[in-house]
Amino acid sequence: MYKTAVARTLRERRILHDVSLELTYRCNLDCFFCYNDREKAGQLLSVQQYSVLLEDLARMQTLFLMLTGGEPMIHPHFFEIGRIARDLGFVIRVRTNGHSLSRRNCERLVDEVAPFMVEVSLHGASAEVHDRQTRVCGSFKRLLANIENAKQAGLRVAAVSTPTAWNQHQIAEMFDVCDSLDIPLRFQGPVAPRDNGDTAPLVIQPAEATWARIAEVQRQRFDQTAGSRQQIASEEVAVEADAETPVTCSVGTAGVDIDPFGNVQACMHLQEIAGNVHEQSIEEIWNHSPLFKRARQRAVDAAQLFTDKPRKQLGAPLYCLAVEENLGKSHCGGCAAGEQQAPA
Amino acid sequence: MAELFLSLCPQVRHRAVSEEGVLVHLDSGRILVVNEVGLHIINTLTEPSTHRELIASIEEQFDVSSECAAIDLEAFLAELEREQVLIKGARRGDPVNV
Repeated sequence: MYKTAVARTLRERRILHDVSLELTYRCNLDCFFCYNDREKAGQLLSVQQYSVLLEDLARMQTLFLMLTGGEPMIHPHFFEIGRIARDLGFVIRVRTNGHSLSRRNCERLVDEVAPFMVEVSLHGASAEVHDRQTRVCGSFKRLLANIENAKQAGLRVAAVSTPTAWNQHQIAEMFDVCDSLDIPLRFQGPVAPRDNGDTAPLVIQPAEATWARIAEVQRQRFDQTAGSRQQIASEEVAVEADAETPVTCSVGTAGVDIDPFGNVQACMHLQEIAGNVHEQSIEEIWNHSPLFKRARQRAVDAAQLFTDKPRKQLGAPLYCLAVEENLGKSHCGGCAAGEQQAPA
Repeated sequence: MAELFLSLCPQVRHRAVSEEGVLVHLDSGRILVVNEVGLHIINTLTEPSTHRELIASIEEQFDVSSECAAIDLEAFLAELEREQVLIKGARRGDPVNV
């Protein structure tokens, strides 16, 4: 019902149902393949502006709110913004690297933000692999302890991982780690260029066979757990591609991303700006910017490329407009300056 | 005997999607979709309300008889109770969700 009738209504009536707030691009880890453009600049939104923005979104009937970053929990007003969002009745997800989930912060999350879900980033099944990607010694050990803190506080936790050349040999083991913590794990990818077009992260793209390996492990696990699965809202919140018109993703239909400087984008990674909440209300931007319709059309056009073949991009079984666009930014003539080496 | 007040469980979030309503229970993770009348009842339940007040509100909003409103209301409230969306015995002035 939700994925069919409601998703269709959202598309047809253009209801802004799902919003991501990138609260900051700062981070307390230093992941080699981070996609954020840390050079991006602008005037940060104030708490007062977040308050007005969230009130506008509540009035517009936005239901799902993602607090993300960078690392959202190191925003100096993270809990204040989260509290405002909770009081306005959003279903809140916090996407964090998990480094700040101390016992005290977990208790504060429960008491002040009441998120529906906390998603943490897992980069490997051992300290050696995880810490290599985060470039912060001790981050793996701390993540596992913090996940325990979060669960003990009563938070619903899920893990997200990007397969890379450095962790591709630990796919099954990462599932085992998450099983031992009793949290679900999903993989996302591919390793993408940074949002400014920097292709340095691509040197740790996993082998193409990794995706088949992930599918195989997931299939085995699916068979083993048949009958005991329970679909939860976190798996339903995305407004799915509609059946009538093939699209590569749901961009432009019912969700936006708002960066730390108030720029409103159709997607976190498509850097074209629909408007800025320093200058206009989110309602004006959503109702009047032509960008969303254009983004939707791009997803429709892109789907036409795959009418007779499976989607594939950088070895991953999908196609993302933003990855394609950000790859295009790096085409500067093919000089040696564009070539990157992975750090040791 | 004092009338029983009903209200939404604080763990439930909801929004209108055009004429329908979407509810998410934060504990169970379940999503409920309700029709226009259901959305009206949900919105009314954001303040503790009695059966009588709910029936009167439905009558007024949808131009139906109180008998018809009462039958539909009972069925709907039973479903909300099954989904653990409803709190019985709330008092006016109790904190409620948006």
